[in-house]
Amino acid sequence: MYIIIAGCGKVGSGLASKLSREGHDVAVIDSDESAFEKLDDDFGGLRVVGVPIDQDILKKAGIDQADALAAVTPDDNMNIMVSQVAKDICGIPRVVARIYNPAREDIFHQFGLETICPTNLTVETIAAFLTGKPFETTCTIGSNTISFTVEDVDPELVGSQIIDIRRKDDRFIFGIIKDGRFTFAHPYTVVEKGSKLVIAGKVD
Amino acid sequence: MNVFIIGAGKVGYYLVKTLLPNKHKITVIEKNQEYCSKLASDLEVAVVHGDGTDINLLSEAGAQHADVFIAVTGQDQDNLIACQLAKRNFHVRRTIARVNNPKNIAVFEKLGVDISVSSTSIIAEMIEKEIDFSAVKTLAKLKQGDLMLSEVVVSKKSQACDRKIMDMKLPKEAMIMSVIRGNETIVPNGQTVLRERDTLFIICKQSCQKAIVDYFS
Repeated sequence: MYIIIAGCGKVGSGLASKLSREGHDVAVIDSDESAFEKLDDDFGGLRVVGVPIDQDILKKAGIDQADALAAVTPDDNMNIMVSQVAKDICGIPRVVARIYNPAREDIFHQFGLETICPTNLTVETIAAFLTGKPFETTCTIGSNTISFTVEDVDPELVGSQIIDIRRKDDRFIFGIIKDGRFTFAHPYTVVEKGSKLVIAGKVD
Repeated sequence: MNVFIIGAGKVGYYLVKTLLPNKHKITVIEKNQEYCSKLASDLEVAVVHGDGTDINLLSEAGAQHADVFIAVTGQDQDNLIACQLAKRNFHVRRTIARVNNPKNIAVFEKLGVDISVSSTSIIAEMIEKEIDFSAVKTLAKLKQGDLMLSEVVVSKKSQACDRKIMDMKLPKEAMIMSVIRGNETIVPNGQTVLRERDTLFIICKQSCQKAIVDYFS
């Protein structure tokens, strides 16, 4: 794939280096040339100095042939604008914007932008850890959102097969984590002591 | 009218000053504390210190009651996002954004801003008009520069002189709207004969302005 990364900070440089190592064609844009020093030494992609909301800069980075773009500059509004230009004007099929401000993320997500809010993610993760409540992660496929949670095995269930476990809610057992390793929950898998269950459910 | 202005730099400050005598209710939002204080002490206007792209702040300041929303900060991305929030979230009818990089004019309008204004291109166009020595002067560019209004003075040497408009081979996408002869204004038709020193107002597609210039010089 041809991927453009706008912003070469910690996330941008990490993302660009990783994708380049995986064999993708990558172009990174940053207004500060010294930001490119954070890239892998053997980074083979394109480095473009300039403001990513400038159309000429986007063209230089190869927007006409790009398959995907991530906007990860430190400026929320810059990321929103770059994403809209890429998606609505240049027609890039896969575009994602990082937005720190949760309220703003919420609005632009509703307006049809793919967004990532590190603030919300961090808050959720830390709160789950501190309160011991099961960590929940969600995955959106089309207009369906599926939530995954992890819970300790109820001692009464130890020794039963997955097929025999009846849940009170309409969620179902998706997988089992034993000694840190994940396996899918096959119907005849026996639940062992000390395992954790990965539960999946549809969010309405 | 209830007017919201984001940004109280040079442009914002003079905009407030210009709009105030018209009895509008104006609210200004500005990030920089110093600019806020200067504006509040100089002019009778409500000033809110903060980020004009912050939804909570906009809502507290009453953006939902605005009739017109104008974003004139020095950052294009902030002006765009502020106007988009005003339009989509607060349902303001008319949004106007200052564009610092002229290349963004079309981008802004495609992304939902009603009017985008670029001081850079306005100044450049005005200067261009002043240094244009040819017989054809551009008076205005309409429809994002697609349509041009030009002023032409007919010279003795021009092939248009002493000729009926219907006999002239002007491009199809050009039209002579009026002819000024001395103190008289003529609304022309095909029978009108052009004379030396007539001033013409011509509207044409940008693509055929070159043909007009060639025809009249």
